[in-house]
Amino acid sequence: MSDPTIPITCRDTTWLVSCARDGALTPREASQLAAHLAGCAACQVASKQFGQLFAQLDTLLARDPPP
Amino acid sequence: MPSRSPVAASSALAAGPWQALAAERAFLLRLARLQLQSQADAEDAVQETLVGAARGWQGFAGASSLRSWLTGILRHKIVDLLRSRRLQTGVDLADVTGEGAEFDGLFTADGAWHPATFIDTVCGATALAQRQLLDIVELCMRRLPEETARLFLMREYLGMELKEIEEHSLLSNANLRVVLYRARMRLRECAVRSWGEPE
Repeated sequence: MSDPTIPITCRDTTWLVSCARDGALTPREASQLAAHLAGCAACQVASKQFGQLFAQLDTLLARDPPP
Repeated sequence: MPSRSPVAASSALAAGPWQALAAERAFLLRLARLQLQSQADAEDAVQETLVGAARGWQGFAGASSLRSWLTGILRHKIVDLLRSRRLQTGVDLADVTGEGAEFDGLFTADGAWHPATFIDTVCGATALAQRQLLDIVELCMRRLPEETARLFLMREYLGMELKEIEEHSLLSNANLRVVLYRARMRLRECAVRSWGEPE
């Protein structure tokens, strides 16, 4: 995933979504993720699922959502 | 993780502070025990949390749930203890990273979501109440292996930075990221299966 023009896979996308929970992605990673999400319906769903899961974890563990 | 659901805790809240606080003890104790790896220290931290909460009961305005309030108090006690100990507990990598092929069934050979195994349920698409959804996430968290749960909660509950967790666990940054990734993937898989179940 070193070249932003190289498409990433759905599996790569799950990795980046997890990494984004721990800190900002590099600009290259962020653009790769955005490009993939824009064209992949399954990853749009999975990304929403992760977002809901993270929101529920924040509530359950009384943690302020990351900025 | 807890022995009582938030619904039961709500009933206890109406019964008075002591009963309400006691209802949250099991949940708090599991969180503390996972992090402190000492039953005695965990019980002390939880006891201090509950006593402190009882003393400050008037300050609990109910803006958050009782569990959230207590969890926040306990978090500070655990972080303080961990930092004062500067405890390093080496983690066996094989215990936390598991099989490399664990998620292969979710994806095709070229890395796309496998249409036969992809679950597209989104929570909120059902009529489940928010409280029940939280119960599902809590249940799924209880299914994580203990070492994984401990590292995962260092990040997600204690809010520790990766670097600090690496120092405690003696894991490399790359391995820690794999542990967190696997925990999140497992949680997602567990949660989306439950989200799709009828009430």
